[in-house]
Amino acid sequence: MDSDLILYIVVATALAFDFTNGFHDTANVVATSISTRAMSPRIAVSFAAILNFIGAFISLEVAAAVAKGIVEPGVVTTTVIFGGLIGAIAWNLITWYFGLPSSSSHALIGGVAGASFAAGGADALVAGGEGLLSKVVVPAVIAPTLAFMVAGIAILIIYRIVGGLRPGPVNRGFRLGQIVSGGMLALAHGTNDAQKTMGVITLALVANGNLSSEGFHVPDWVVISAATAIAAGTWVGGWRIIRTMGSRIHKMDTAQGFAAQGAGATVILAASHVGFPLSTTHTISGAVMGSGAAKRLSAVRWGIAGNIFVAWVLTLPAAAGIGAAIYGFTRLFGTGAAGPVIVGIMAIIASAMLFARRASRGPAIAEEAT
Amino acid sequence: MRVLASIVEWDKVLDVIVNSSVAGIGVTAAYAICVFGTTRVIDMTKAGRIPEAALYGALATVMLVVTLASAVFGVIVMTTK
Repeated sequence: MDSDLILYIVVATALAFDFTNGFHDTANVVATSISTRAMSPRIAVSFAAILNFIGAFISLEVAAAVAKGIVEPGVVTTTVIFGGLIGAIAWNLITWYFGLPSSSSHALIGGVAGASFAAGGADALVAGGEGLLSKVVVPAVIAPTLAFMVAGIAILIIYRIVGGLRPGPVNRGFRLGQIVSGGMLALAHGTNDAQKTMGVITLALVANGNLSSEGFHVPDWVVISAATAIAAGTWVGGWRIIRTMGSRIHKMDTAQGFAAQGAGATVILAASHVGFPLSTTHTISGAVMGSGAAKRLSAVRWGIAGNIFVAWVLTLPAAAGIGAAIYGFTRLFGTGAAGPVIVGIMAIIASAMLFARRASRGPAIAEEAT
Repeated sequence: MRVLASIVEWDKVLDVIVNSSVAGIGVTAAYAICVFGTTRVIDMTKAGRIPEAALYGALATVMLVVTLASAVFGVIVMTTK
């Protein structure tokens, strides 16, 4: 009875995380379209929400990697997963408070890995942490770098092709192109990010004995609920981070927006295809910087880019630390449902206080920085 | 360093690098040529040079088809694994 109650709390928390993921991350996906006025904010966000929902049904490779490739399904418990989820949400809220586009994906994986490590030591991680290194850390370094280079080369080729033409038709052409490239980016985001929540819920179902740890199967209700949660979060929108991504790194023209979205989408889709749970935030940040730096290095506001870089480096270890601490705190109340219930209520109160404080203080620090 | 080399799934990493580079640069270049062709169609039509306009129109159409087909192909590859 207690274990089922913890499972319900974990599923609700995972879906809440998925919602915040949409709220927090997907803003990055639409920011370039909004910045170049290819779409109005409301249309861009609605378009992204629909394509995120569709994208969640495309593949299950990333869900499999999260459920089986990072922590040992046979070792972790639902309480461990709960600790990891709260750790990830806490880190997401902290970075949201400061207006930093950090990675929800790395927060989730870091939180779950940290709580698992606190519960079972290195044995709780696949091959003592090698899974985390090969499936998360290495792709985390490669993806933004690759997106930076692809976007940079793409924009140089674009300028070479359309450089001597009248700007009016060219801008209209790339604005239209951004509808496709922005759509592909939203689809890619739904594919990669919604699957992480599916993977965590599947892991919780295995931990609770509802699913076998042999083989891999994501129940349909998990896919549908994760897709709905991320789409709903997207639709509500993370307007604070839209501003940072859309115009604070550098002012983009329509061709740069198209190149950045195209590069980001292809890197995320290629990574999803092989099952790498990438950070869409880092990838699109890399692409946005690449499209700016290729035109002129000084076009990029490196101070803002530096803030993003710091959040990028800190996310995994910080979320892991918070996840481990929350698991430890939850265990103070025993192995039953009391710990997750108390910590869950405390998390809701803390989140409400953070929202209220943010609302009373006005713009985020990243917005004030320029 | 040797441990890292043995842990990382290099074949998958290489897959991501090659596919995203080819698709990302190729598709954006194709669409840029489409925009180039469309702009030239407008200019040539205004100048009354209809044969050239038709040629640029054909180029723009082919590149638009290449761009859209690449996007659809990408989604099909994702869904059929």
